[in-house]
Amino acid sequence: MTTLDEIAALLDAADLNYGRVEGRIRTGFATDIYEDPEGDNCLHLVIGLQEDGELVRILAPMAYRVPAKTGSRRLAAIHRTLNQINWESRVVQYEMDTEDGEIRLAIDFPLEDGKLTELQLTRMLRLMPNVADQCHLGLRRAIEEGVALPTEEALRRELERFVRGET
Amino acid sequence: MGEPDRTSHQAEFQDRLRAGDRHRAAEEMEHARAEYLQALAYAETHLGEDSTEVDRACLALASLHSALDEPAEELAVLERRVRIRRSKGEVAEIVDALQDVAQCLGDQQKTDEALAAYAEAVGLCDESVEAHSAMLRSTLLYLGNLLLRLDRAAEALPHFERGLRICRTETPFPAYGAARLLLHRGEALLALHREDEAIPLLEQATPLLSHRSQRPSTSVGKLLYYLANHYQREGRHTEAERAYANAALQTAAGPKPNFHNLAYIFQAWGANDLKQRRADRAERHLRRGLKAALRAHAPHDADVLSIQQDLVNLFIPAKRYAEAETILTEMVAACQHPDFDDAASRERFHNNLGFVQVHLEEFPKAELNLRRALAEPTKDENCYVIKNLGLMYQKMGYVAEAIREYERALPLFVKHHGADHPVAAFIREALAELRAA
Repeated sequence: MTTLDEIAALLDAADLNYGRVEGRIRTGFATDIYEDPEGDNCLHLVIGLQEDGELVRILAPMAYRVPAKTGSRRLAAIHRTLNQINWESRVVQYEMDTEDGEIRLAIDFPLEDGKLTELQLTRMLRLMPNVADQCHLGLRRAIEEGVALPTEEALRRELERFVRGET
Repeated sequence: MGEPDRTSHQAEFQDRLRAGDRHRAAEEMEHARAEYLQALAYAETHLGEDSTEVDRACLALASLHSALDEPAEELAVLERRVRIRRSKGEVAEIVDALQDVAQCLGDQQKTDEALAAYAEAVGLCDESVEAHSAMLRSTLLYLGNLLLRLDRAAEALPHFERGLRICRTETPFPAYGAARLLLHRGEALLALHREDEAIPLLEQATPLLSHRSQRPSTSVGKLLYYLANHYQREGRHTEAERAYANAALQTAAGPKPNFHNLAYIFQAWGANDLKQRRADRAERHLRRGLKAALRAHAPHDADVLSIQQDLVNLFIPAKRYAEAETILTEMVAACQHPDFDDAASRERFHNNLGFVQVHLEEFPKAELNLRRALAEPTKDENCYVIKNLGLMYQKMGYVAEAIREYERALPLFVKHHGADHPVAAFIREALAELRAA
């Protein structure tokens, strides 16, 4: 079991800025291309504990929002892109709330009877903005244009067709 | 030597090499050198001068010499690897070692020798032998890239094309190898001003090479930037934006971000934002470009000043004079550097600073800067500065002085920029207003 005070102490040790609000820890990381809904290059994170401190949950809530009344074709592209990103990802997962269109990044880390270490926490935290950057263009294109992220295999096939088709 | 003896010598060699690797990882370079040299000597004594272990120790030493910028030593150990591999006669192995030698020579600006090493590697390969295909096409890629770096794009092109021909014969299809050949063939075509042929190649190669499974690459970032510029010129601003974002990610996220390139990407991205009438995004991108430029260059460098000028051009029409003043003050300070020898720019920076200070009603500062601008004679006889002096006096309520300066400025505008120039029209209106007062 881990407490929020212990997580705060780990963040202090790692020299990371954070704030505590309503039983959660809030922090943020600069990104290269991901933009928050205000257009800033920042990923806002929330760290919380569940199951009596046996599970750490790190979230980037409201990383994106799918507009209400988005058509089925575009929704299919978004779901397909999220599925593709999750298929290619370790640790970080993208979640979509189909009720309000919120898309967030999430890490669930079961501690059970163990103690969270500084290295585990900072690796998870620093992974979030990296993944947000890597997936930003594909996801934004799916949300704004309804074009699904192609798989690596599809890109390989497309390239092979092009090269073999050249004379 | 009996097999058990050899095995125990190999184990001892491995231990020494690993000890070197540990020091290297901890950046204890001299300790690493000592361990690698011991490993090399041990392998020479117990496993043979031309053994695989000597080859491996040479490679570890080459990497260390490269990190310590010891070019002669690096080249010597890499050449030794070629000799070891020649003694065994395995073509792919020799070509692999020759590639390292050629790259080392290229990095040391010994371009003729580097080209000769690549040519030798290419000559050793037989295109009809399947086992040579991968080595041959990678050698052709490196050779082509060296020629591109030497501004010899026309000579590079056939090597990329030959590499792609080899790809077509391979099973399974080497997608990433082909994508790299395609990308640099596109780069060569761009250098030869054959943009129409280059763009489709870049469009095919970049999605795969920038897939998240691949490490970010500055060279992919550079070509995405060219692609984005092409889209911007064509008015395809959404595609341009996506390509700039991808270029920025490729350039910033690698182990060694290229801040010089990053500055160019953000500046061009800002221009694309403005064409989409998104001034807030343009400002953000220009500010990030400025930050990157300042990490690569001194404040008086033309690249830094160019981005600052773009920011000023954003602020002045938006009447954000205080923010423009901050940037222009930095530009004026930068142009005092002894290496800065562009008098026309120095005049323009002082004049612009004076202009925004007039609008901020900081008149003493404005006058000082406008007078400094006048000290740098320009082809148009400083007519903008004189007009701004008129504007300053007008705002201060000094009618006679304002009329005097405007009357000086007007014929100069007519002479250098034509009677219909918008500033000439502005001066005529101001004069009419002042005379009527």
